[in-house]
Amino acid sequence: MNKTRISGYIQIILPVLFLAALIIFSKDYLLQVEGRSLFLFDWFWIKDFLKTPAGPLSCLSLFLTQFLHIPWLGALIWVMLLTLSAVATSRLYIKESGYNALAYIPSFILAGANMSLGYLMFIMNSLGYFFGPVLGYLTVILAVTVCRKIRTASGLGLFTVIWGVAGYWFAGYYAFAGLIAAASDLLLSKRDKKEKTVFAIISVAVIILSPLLLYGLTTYNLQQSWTLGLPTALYQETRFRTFCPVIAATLIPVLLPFLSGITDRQSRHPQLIRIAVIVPCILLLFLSWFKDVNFNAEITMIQATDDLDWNKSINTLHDLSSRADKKKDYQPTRIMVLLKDLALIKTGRESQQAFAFDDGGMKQKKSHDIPMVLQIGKELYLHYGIPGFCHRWCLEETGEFGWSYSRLKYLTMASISMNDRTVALKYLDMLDHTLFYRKWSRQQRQICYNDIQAEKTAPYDLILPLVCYDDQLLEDIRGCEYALEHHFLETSSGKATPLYDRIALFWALKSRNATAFWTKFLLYIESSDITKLDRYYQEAAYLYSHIGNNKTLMSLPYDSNTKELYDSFMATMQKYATDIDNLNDARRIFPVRLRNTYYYYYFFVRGLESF
Amino acid sequence: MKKIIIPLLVILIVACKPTLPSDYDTAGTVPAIFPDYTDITIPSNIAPMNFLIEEQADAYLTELTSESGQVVIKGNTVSIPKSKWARITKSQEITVRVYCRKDSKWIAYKPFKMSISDEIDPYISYRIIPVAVESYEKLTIRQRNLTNYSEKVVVSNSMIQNNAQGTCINCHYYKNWDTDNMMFHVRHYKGGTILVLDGKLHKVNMKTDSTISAGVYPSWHPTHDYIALSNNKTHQSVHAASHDKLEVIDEENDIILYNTRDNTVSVIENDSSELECFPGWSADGRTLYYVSAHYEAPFGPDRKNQIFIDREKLHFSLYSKPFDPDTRTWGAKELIYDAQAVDSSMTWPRVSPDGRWMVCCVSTHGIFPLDQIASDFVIYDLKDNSYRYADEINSRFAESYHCWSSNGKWIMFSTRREDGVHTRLYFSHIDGNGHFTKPFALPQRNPEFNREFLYAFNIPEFMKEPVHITPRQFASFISSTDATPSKYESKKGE
Repeated sequence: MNKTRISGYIQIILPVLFLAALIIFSKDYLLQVEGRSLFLFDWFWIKDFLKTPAGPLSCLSLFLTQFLHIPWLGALIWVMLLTLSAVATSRLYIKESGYNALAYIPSFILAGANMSLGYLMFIMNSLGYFFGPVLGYLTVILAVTVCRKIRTASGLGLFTVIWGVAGYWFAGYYAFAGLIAAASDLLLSKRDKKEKTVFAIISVAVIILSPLLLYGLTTYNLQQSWTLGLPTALYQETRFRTFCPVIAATLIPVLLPFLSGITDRQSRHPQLIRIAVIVPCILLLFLSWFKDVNFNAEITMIQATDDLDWNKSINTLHDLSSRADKKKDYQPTRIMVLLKDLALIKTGRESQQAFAFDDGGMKQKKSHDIPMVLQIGKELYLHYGIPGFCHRWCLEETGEFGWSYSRLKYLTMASISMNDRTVALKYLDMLDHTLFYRKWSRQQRQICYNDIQAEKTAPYDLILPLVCYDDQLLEDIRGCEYALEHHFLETSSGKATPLYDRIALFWALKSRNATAFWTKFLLYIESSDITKLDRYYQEAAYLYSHIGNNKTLMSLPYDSNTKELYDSFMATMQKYATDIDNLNDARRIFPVRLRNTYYYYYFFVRGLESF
Repeated sequence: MKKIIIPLLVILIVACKPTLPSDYDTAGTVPAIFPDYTDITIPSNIAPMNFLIEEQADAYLTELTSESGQVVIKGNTVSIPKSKWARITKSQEITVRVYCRKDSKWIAYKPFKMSISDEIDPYISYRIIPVAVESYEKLTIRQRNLTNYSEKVVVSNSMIQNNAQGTCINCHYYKNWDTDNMMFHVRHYKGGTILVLDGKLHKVNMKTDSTISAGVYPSWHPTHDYIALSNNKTHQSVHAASHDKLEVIDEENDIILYNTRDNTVSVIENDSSELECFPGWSADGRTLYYVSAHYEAPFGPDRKNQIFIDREKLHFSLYSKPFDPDTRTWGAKELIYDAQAVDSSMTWPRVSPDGRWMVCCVSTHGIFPLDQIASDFVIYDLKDNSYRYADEINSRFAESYHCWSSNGKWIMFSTRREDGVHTRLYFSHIDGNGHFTKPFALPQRNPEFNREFLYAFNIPEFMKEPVHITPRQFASFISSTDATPSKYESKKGE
């Protein structure tokens, strides 16, 4: 087969496979990346980016990030840019097609950098971090390309100065990486010594001086000036993790000229070289791709919550639990459990199904402390009817990570839920300047002006009935799960709605607090018009009546199944009492039928660490 | 050639100049505009008062007329060129008339006036902060030239903090509107109070073993080298669902006097059953006004929770305390406003430069009007200590921090009147009888600025001149200098 044709196939097959993998396995991840970004078609907003070094690159990157709203489109753009990077590198540095594969290394590294972020995605605070590195890399390639075209020492000197200032303003770090790559390319070329010397001296000077010169115009910390444009996360310690892959990718163009002795020669075994480069690259990408099942399930469930697709949220955990059934030590994370509970509540199924899922508190596979509230705080607080806290955390997140579509949406919904219509309109005005959220903004605007419509429209139909308590000050320093439990167990309300009482009873069940249970149970019975208690309320009442040894409560009209399960459960527990140390032991011993009871939850799902 | 070009240019200029319609219907109302600049009083040296016409129409023309000239602007964004603005503001009054073309018919709205009054200090400074409780990385103190739209950073958190260790800059203040003598606090990383004394930078730590905290809310003595400051142990908590988003409460409060000359701190008020705060000097510096709430709860770890529970019982009353600045001796405190008796709470007493008026915030309870929708202004006539609600400047949302211009003719204050969440700056003129004119928003080049801007303005202060120390000088000084501990003077001096 023709060598050029093989090279062409690689240029097509690899991107297509990567694109397919992105769409199949990471669709919700891409949607979450987009939801955490913002691009406004508004000169006032764009102008802010033009005031700081690397701001224009961030702005351009945010412009492209918005297309992830249609995941295949955004992914296609990203993959095309990665492919373009590889092709441009190849054309610039590699004469023999056998070594073309080397040009793919930066693109693989950049792809791996984004797909390996995992939980860091919740705390990325550099705007446009998803497209930024690939755009930055193309900037590096552009610098080398232009330098090659300039034939005179004075032209090179002029370019270096202009690039050092304008390029730094546009792309920050990447402009300097471009100068270093161009210097390496030039120094190893056959060009005049004078040109090389001029270029090297001026490059060093502008790399040192440009940030100092522009620093006066910015409010950055001076130490950050040389790394502006690189992806960053909330904590300083994550810098190594977020910087390294991108710096490594931009170093490849610096190194390639040194390999020109090899890459310019015709290879005897081009296929072998391709395999030797591409296979490890694919392996590297595969290994770095954050594939943790719980992380992916969490992302899917968060996206489902954002889309108000409650069934998808429930089914995600259900499917995962079914698949993990053979793996006895499997536990979901607290986030998955909380989102599942929320979805069950919203579909009115919590009293029948809440404890039929695996419960647990599997630690998230994350390298840094990322509180639950920064991951799903705004979702939980809004849908549980605590809009003040949803509003607060949206603003806290904005303070740390910048404005985003998702935060603006939740701010709007929280404001409408608190009857703060004027400020809701302010957030909607911003969303009006977006490409993909105008329609949502129009719909919300109508709701904003119409109380009756709000009461009937999702998600407000299930939020407004929960905002029925006397306002209180809340504390969530111990985490949002604790705050929610505290809210539903401790908040008194003379105007509680049946929905509020139902959810308060559910949280009482989750708390395993008998007193709280009976208090909320009575309120629930009073406010609802039920004729028959649902399964888990029966199990809880039956259990607590036995624990309290209350004969009257024991003789309530329980289903025979409730009693029979209780007896079986107690018998199993007595039989294996000495073998059970923890939740995993219990999971191994108890059959699914008994694991799906409130009794099992009460005795074994304990001590799970929320965060 | 010249003979052709010059007439051509003249024709072009004349053709481009918008002409007012001669045939139109009249509307009986003023047009809806944002910001609301209808029938206001403005300073003669203010930047052009750009605004947006919010009427639905196909075309817009705005005519601004005064005795010294006329300007006609096309379009619904009324951006007035600075040179033309300077010309029309030379007279006493500007009449603004808006014409809108709807369905090929021009409508002339009822004209409104901008009365031109006393000059205002050319500079102001304020904090720009994210509307969050804990995330304050992007906080800056900025200065703005009121005669144009130029805004510059004075100092920024991001220039000081190290990512792992945050910083919070706050409570900037000037002695007699003079930037050669100014101060602000830096909390947490590289913390201390930054003092500029006669143009020279100092960094001090006002926390001593005998005081409960470093200095917080300041008031610089008008004639002597003293700054009265509150000491606060502040906590914040968030409302579950309320227009008041945040509750800010001090577990303990005292008032101290800081001597800038010898870096000493002495106590003014530190009654353990009182929460004393917000000192404010009279114009002659011989009286200190402050507020105080009676509160008794055991000191210890539970006090914080208890005070949050009791928050609606915290009623801050207004007191005055005579002071002799030469001998640094204090007289007995006197109750001026008994908040407990009327179930309210008074904060932020600030006296006009002529000593005649004092404006304070009044709310239902507590110490932090910024986050209380119920907060309004009252104005005291210090001739007889009578007061009234300044309804002409109050709104249904929180009115909070206010300050006087150096000539005492203008008041600047922060308010959430536009959307209930984002604090904005407004100005009002005061006449000899203590009456304010209709307030107007800080003019911006982009009239929609207040709608689009998602940060809040905070702690506005007038200045006669800009701060000359650059942000880099401040940042480098703060980062490289350790705070000098202040010495405690036990003598209370009463």
